[in-house]
Amino acid sequence: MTIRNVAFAALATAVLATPAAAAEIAKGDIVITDPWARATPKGAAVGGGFMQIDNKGTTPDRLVGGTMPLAGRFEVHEMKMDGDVMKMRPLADGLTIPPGGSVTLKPGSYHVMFMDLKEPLTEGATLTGTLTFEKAGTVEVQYEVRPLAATAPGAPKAPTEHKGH
Amino acid sequence: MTRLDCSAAPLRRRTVLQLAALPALMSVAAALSLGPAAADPAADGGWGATLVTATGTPLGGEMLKGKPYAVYFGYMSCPDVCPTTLADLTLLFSQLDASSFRDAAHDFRVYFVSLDPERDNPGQLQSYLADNFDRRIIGLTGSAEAIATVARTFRAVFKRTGDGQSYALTHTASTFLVDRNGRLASKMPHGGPLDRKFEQVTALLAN
Repeated sequence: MTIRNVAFAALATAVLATPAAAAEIAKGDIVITDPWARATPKGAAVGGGFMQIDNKGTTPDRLVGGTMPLAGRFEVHEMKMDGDVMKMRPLADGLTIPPGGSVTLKPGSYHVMFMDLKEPLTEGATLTGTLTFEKAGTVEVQYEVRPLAATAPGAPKAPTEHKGH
Repeated sequence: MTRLDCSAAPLRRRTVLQLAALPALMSVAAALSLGPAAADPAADGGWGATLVTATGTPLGGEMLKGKPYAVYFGYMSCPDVCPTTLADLTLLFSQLDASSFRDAAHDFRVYFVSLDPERDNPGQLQSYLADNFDRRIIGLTGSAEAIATVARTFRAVFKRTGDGQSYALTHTASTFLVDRNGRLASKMPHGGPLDRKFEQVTALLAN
């Protein structure tokens, strides 16, 4: 990839990322920042959703569930890398957000799972769903759908690492 | 033969296949533990079992002797590491096609072995790969027993977590690179720079 293309990709990324950077939703003591989902391959049954969740309160809260219209089911999962092994497990009791603390759902870590997808999550789309917290209740969130190979908001892995040889 | 000799297989020092919760796999694993050591791909290139491509062609490692290839173990309900690995591999193929390794890349194959034969049917696996990723990524499936044997051959770990329909799979996220002699050349970790993957694959193709 030429310098010009890299610059263009970076510019395009910056433009696309601007609205998302401002996305912050508060409900009770819970603040959700920059929810996004990864585009899914056609035919995939599942997709992942990511965000930062802050708890401004003085007691723990828990993300216990949610909905997304394109998903038949919704779960909260923990994922972690142990050497070269990807360990994943459903969090049956939800994800605790400590008081005064923050939990980031991101690739390679915690994520919400959109299960039994009715159609693929398409890059560039905005998905409206809900998240339910034990104390803060149910809050509506809008996920920006980002490219399949993205590893972080506004930082698509593919264009930046696809250098020429 | 080396493949039947526990002590001769250097990769054997690590404990491998964690028992899957799936009862069928547990019985297979139990059976394997009583049998000879897992096949070493260094021996004759065999995988210890024959799988079948998503389009129905039987395939085993011994049939690939003379051709370098790559193997990844994953499943279609994998939200993160599998699709991103497949997306990376697709980018890698386009990089190879634009390089002096174009001809070698033409015949290079990546085998995506489904660890979830219960949910990933061959037709869905075929369209999942063909509709989204490079056509040189070939889906493989088979019986739970055959898949467990092949994973064991590569020292790939997998384990079922969760209950009912919502189970997930813990699994090795690296891509295995096998040289033209059927030996495990290296592993490509999940994620990381594409340039490094390009170096690893071109080293394999050049060898």
